[in-house]
Amino acid sequence: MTSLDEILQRISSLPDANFWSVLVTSPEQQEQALTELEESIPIFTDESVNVIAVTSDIEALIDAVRSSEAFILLWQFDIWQPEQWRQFDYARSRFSHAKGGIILLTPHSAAQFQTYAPNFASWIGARVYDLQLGLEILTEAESQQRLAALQQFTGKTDAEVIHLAETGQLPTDPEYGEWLVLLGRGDLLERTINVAGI
Amino acid sequence: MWLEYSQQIQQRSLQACSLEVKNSKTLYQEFSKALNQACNDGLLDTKIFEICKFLKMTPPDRQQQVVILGGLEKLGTKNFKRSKDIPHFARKDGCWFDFAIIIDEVRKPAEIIGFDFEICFPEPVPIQFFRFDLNLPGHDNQSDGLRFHLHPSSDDFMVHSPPMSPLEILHLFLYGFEIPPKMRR
Repeated sequence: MTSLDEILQRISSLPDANFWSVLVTSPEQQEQALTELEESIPIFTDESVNVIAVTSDIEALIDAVRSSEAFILLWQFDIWQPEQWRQFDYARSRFSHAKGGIILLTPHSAAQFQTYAPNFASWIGARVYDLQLGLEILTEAESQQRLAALQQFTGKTDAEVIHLAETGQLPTDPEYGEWLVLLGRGDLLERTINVAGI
Repeated sequence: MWLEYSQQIQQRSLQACSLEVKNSKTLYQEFSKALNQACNDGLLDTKIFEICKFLKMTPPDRQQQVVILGGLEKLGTKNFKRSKDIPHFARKDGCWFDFAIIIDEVRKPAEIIGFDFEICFPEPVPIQFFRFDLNLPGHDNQSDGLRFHLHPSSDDFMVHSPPMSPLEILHLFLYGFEIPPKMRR
């Protein structure tokens, strides 16, 4: 399992190196993964990203990859049949691309890749990762731990802080804003801002 | 008279400071990139794989205010006592730091509405810490003109902060505050 941050670290450590990797997510997470990669790769690498949804036309795919000057994101491989994978494997040397790219697969297409494009898979080698999204998000347990620390430091309870916010008496120290967000009461923070006329 | 000056200084500072961001996720990625780069530059004791553990955010899709937290592995242990025993982002020269940023995504574009950034220094540096605070909007901030302020190694004393964005403060913590080999005092 690999986080998005770890993938970005790997990509940014090898700029202009024709570095390709395979990321595997569930079909339900393909679009979210694509969006997050498309938004975060330019931030990490200062490179633009070219998203290419594959079709059955392998030659068109090769042309699109070779003519692009951006980092490549290939996806929607579930539409491929074994014949497309074989053609992809046969044309592997023509996928050389200075900026490199990511092949985004589902478990189904990952299995097809290994079976019908064995030479390409061999070249990719160990750079096949199960992408786990959302690892940067605070878990419920972590949120509770953080709230406990705020309670210990201030001597206040969650209920007291909510009451202060509801009555317009919330201290303006930033930890109180954090506190409300952790409690899921960002609406009270919004109310505080509106009252302040900001 | 000082109160009037204080409010004018605050107004200038906040106007000069860019607190608008595309969204919380973009800001998170910019922070991640800066921390990774500092690791690659050999400035951090924090290992590159630890950045993902220390840099967290609240779920951006659950409500329209988001908090980005940095430097606290055991997130239940906000380091109010400034103990070095609690893991932070750590520099190779012995400094360590943490931060929390609050982003309001109701506004378009999104806006940073509060933060605190604190860096602590090792012995024998004669100052203990610097902390940058952007308090939440509120009437008391407007009246004393110190919504955006800096604590120079004192929780009691504060001075107006220079107009620095959170990303700029992070870069200051990563690349600035060089400890001289021979201190004047």
